[in-house]
Amino acid sequence: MKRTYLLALIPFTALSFCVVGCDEAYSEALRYGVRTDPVPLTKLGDEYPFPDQPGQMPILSIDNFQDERNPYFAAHQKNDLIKGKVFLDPTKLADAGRQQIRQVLDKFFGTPAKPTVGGIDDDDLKKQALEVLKLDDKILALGSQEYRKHCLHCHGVTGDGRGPTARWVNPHPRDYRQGRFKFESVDQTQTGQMPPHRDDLMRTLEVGVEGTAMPSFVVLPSDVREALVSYVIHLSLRGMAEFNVFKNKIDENTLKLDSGETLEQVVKDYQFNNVSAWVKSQDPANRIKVAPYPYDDNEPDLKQLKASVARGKELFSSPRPEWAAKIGKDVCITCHKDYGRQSYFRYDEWGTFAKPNNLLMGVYRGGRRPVDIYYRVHSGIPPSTMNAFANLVPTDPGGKNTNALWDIVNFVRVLGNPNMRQKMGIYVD
Amino acid sequence: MGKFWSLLFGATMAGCFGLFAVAPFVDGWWMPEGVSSHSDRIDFLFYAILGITGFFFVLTEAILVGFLYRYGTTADGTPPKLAPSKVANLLKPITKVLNDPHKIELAWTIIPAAILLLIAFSQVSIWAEVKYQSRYTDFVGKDTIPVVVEISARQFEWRVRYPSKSRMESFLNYTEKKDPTVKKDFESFAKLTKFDDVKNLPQALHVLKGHSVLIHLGTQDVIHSLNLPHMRIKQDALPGKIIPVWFIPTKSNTQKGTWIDGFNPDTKKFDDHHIWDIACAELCGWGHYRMVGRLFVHETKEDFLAWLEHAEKDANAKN
Repeated sequence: MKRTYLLALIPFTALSFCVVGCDEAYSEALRYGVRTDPVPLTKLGDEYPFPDQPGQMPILSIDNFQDERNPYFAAHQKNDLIKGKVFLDPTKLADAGRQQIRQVLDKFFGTPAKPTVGGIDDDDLKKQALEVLKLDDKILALGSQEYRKHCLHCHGVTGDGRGPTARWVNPHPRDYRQGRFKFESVDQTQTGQMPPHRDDLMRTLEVGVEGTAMPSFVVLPSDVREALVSYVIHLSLRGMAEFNVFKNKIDENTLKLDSGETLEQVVKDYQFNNVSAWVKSQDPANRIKVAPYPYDDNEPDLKQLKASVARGKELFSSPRPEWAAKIGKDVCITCHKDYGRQSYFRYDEWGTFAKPNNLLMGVYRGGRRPVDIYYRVHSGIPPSTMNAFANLVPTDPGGKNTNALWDIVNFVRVLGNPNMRQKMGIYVD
Repeated sequence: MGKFWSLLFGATMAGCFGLFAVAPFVDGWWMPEGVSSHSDRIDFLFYAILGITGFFFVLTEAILVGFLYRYGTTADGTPPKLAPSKVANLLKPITKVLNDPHKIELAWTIIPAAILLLIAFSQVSIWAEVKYQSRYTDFVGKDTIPVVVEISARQFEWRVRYPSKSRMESFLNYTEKKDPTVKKDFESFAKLTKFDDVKNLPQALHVLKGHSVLIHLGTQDVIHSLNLPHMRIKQDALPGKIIPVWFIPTKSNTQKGTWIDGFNPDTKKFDDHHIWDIACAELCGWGHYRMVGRLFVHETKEDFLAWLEHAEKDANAKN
């Protein structure tokens, strides 16, 4: 080749690096789109013996049910899960319907590059959404950019927990679209199913989720983390609106609205309810009221702690028919079989599986502080079918054990440390 | 090909050399400030080897460019017609001795081998001080217990376990009373996680200036590598092993009381040069590039223990 042509290669190679660009935000052309994965309507059952296989999401599409490695395969063979209204197939909805849903959601929630939270007619609620939930457009734009950099690959563009790396990670990343989160400090015993407080999401970003693939993002500045939390709430609200529409307004694969209703008005109503629920969760009055810790852990012979742990063990392991009557489950050990060593997987609300924690490992996903474990025992983990025990254990004066929750917490904490188990005289072998 | 390509090649090599020569003087282009007991000796090794290999590199490349220039074919593809080389005359004393290929090969095998052996032997003692576990006691001293932590690497973060504040205090004060139970307690730290250990703190390692540090390095999943660039420390974390890493920080970077890093103790101001990373130096998955934590070196023992007490209180929060 002539020399001059070869020379031209040099600037071309250099410039080619500039084509890639360094834009951090989503492309303006990208839109969220309407979900195509099956919508979980009810839980199929209670216990399930196996985890989902590596590389498999339980439900990315209806076709997964035909794969014999899929946990739902056997059940689907027996009774069609779509006909049986266990799942809804959103791809069966005609294009016109899907377009309608897309238009309304895009109108109220924007695009990934320009996210917004709209569709709130009530001015007071709008103000609270902006102040208390921090959902103004500017913070959402920053959140969207950072989400794309740090979270997208697992949690997906729409927060569906089905990003490219999600299938290789077990437990799977959180699906925000039902507005349900596992580790909350909001009192679930009052109305149940309350969304988390912003602090809960901030804490998850700060310390990660131990024992899962979710790392700590504490090295990100706190304003970036605040923006990420706002964006997650935005994705959750959008997902909730979409989920509500599919759950309630789809009949026989068509969008069925009541007479005089428009889809816009329907979504606005859902938005009102969902945003109100989130705002209510931010109210300090709705946080879990943690009873003051009653014992002195610094006693030289740890007598008080030892007695507390013994009471906790009794609460954890001994049968309690009165609980079974109320919640269908006996005591903690009913699900945390053999202190968690022989737990079965359980169907959860996202259509995936959760396993009651093996408490002897000393790994606490929701946080290892005593107060974190108190939150779990008090209000449970509702979407994963762990009950709120605050209403069940005796906590009033006159009940046999007014510190029951702290006793269970102490027992759980001691279970996780072999050296301490020995010291406390707890033998589980 | 002609002279053009040799000149282009020579200019590129000279440009690269120029950038390299300038690099130590441009902010952010060179190694960060070395602030550990190991950094002087390791940096010396680095510069010595750089000098030796750099000399030979420049020599061989200069000869290559020279030959390309002088013996490049002319435009019509024929070899050039050249006058006898002046350089060849200068080299006559050497070519008289090395007058056959066998002797030349002996020369360019033995001389580099000798240089390499020299480097190999001279660096053993530095390597031993940093890595040989038998040297650890010499390094730390029989009567001192270091700041001991356990770092557990996992995809994609660093998790640190500290002893409780009172336990750490007894370790730091060991030199005064030399209590054998304290020594035994320290020796059990790596294998025994006590109930009151401050466990699982993410992404931040706190140590004390002037006091030796012992890190028990492990991993929860795949191979990672603890890289403390400012301390000149790199150690692979291997699944199934707990590997000790030790050093003494010689400078602090954390403001007293607020425990914010990036604090220059000399100017008493914050700057980026005093933000010290904990990086991962072994490809461990998609998140390897961002498995970055922060190293906090406290100025005084009181400040370090105050931070540890605060961290312990946080970890034991009951409300």
